[in-house]
Amino acid sequence: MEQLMEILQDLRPDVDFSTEKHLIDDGILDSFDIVTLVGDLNDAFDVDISAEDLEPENFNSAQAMLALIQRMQEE
Amino acid sequence: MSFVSLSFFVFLAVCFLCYFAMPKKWRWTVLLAASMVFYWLVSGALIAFLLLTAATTYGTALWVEKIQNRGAEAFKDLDKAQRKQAKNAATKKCRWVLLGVMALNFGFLAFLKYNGALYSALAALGGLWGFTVWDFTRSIVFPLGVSFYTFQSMGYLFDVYRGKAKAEKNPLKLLLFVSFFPQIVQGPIGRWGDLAPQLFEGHSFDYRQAKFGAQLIAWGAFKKLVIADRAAVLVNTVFKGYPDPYHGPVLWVAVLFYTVQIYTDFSGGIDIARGAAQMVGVTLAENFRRPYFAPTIAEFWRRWHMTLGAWCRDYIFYPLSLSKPFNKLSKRGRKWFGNRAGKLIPVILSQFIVFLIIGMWHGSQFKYIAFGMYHGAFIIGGILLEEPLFRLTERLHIRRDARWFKVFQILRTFFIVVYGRFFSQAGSFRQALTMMVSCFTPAALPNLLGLGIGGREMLLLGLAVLALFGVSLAQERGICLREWLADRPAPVRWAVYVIGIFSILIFGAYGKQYDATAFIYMGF
Repeated sequence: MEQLMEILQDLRPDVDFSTEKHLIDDGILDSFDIVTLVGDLNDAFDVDISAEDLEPENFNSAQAMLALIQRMQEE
Repeated sequence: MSFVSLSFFVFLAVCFLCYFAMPKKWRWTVLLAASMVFYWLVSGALIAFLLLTAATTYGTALWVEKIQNRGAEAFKDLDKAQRKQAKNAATKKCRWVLLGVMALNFGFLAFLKYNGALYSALAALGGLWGFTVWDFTRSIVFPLGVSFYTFQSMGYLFDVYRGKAKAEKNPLKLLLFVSFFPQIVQGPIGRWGDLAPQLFEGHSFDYRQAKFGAQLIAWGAFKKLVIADRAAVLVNTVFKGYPDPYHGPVLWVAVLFYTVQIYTDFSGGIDIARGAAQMVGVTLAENFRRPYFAPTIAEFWRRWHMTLGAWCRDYIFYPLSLSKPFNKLSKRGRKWFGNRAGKLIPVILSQFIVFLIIGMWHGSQFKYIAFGMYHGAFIIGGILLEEPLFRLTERLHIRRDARWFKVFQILRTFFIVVYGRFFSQAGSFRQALTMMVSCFTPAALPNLLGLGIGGREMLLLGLAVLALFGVSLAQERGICLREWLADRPAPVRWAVYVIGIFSILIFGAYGKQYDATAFIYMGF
């Protein structure tokens, strides 16, 4: 989680990722943020997140992103 | 049968009555029958193209799902590596199937839009090689809403491929999704997950929904008949008469009127579509969110033709920017140009391609591609200059959250959008460039009342635009006027209804100099 929070803070220092639960639904992260974020997550966690995984529920909060990463690592 | 004709409103009323007279389980069949009748009345035999798209979409979705299910069955007894290999093989097969149906449907769309260019190229070749090419462009007919139903159908197929949607087993239900009559003319482009369950569910009659739907239809008709069709007269006078005698500031007036016209024409049509659907309990996707209040061009495109933007984002921008080749480019870019620039490469390239496609979607002339590139350039420029501009505002001690700064951003974006509208109105790319220079030449402003609409008409137009601005401002502040109105006492409510309806009937632009039959986006 720590590593993920570091990536998120680096991407958008103005957002409190520990509390925010509607990052996509409320438009806090835009499509440019998402593309950059996915690239960083793929590199850092050695996963292969693709366009098919870009569901709001996978990116609405840091917790949801962590769950997605863990799911992909298990596959 | 135009959305703003008496026959459409009679058709809508009959459809509404039949829908609620039918047992709940079968109410979707009324929508299907109405959609088929509507398309037949408007396009006649061209309905065959719609049926063909529905049929190929139906069959392909089932085929893709079958490949995936067969793969899933086979995965059961495999180890992790074998499972991955088998999954990749199934995915590859699905992609080939999808590519085939995409080539068919998008190929047909491209042929319709680019047949003129194709004929010119073939004729030129014929001239060189000494053969004559039959002029097939004269026989080309454009099925109503072909862009919209093609995009909607392909979106459904991608969702099935991605596992977001289950392939529909009932071909008639799939046909309803592809052809639902309120949205067939000019969208909004619906998504299977949002729209299909609403279409197939038998909605109970809800007075509030029916009332809100009727209000939205009236508001759409007001935008189209009172504003768009009236502004169109001045726009046509100036642009069809160009280059003589119109140059200088009058071009600004005309392009400003066109900016108002295209918004009220397109969003008015969408309001009528959304209102008609709401009357039977179906909520269509939002397509406009007050785009001229956008502070940046990127935000403008998140508020203008939103369903096309979202379609391009989900099915073109994301798959491209997250693809392996773009990922490799990004990694190389990081080595050569630094971390930030490298990360931006896939975003910028994908954005460029999306706007190229949006430009091509609007038409085959180069001016449309230039229109797409114009907007794309501002968005890409915005990404690249974000940090330097942020630092500049800090150095100049400008508070970015100050009200004046926000107003400045909105006006700046509005100016960029208005200026870019020359591409749409010019006869060609070259003419658009000439206009974009010519509008700055000093010249006396001619009498605006001599440009097709007189003083009374101009006053009406001004008041109507002011009303639209007031409503938009209220909506921008989070006020839902329909709900606000619903809470007022009955005499106030009815006074508003009567004034609204009579203002459309009396002040709508009717007569031979107006063209209420066509919506601009029907042509796309």
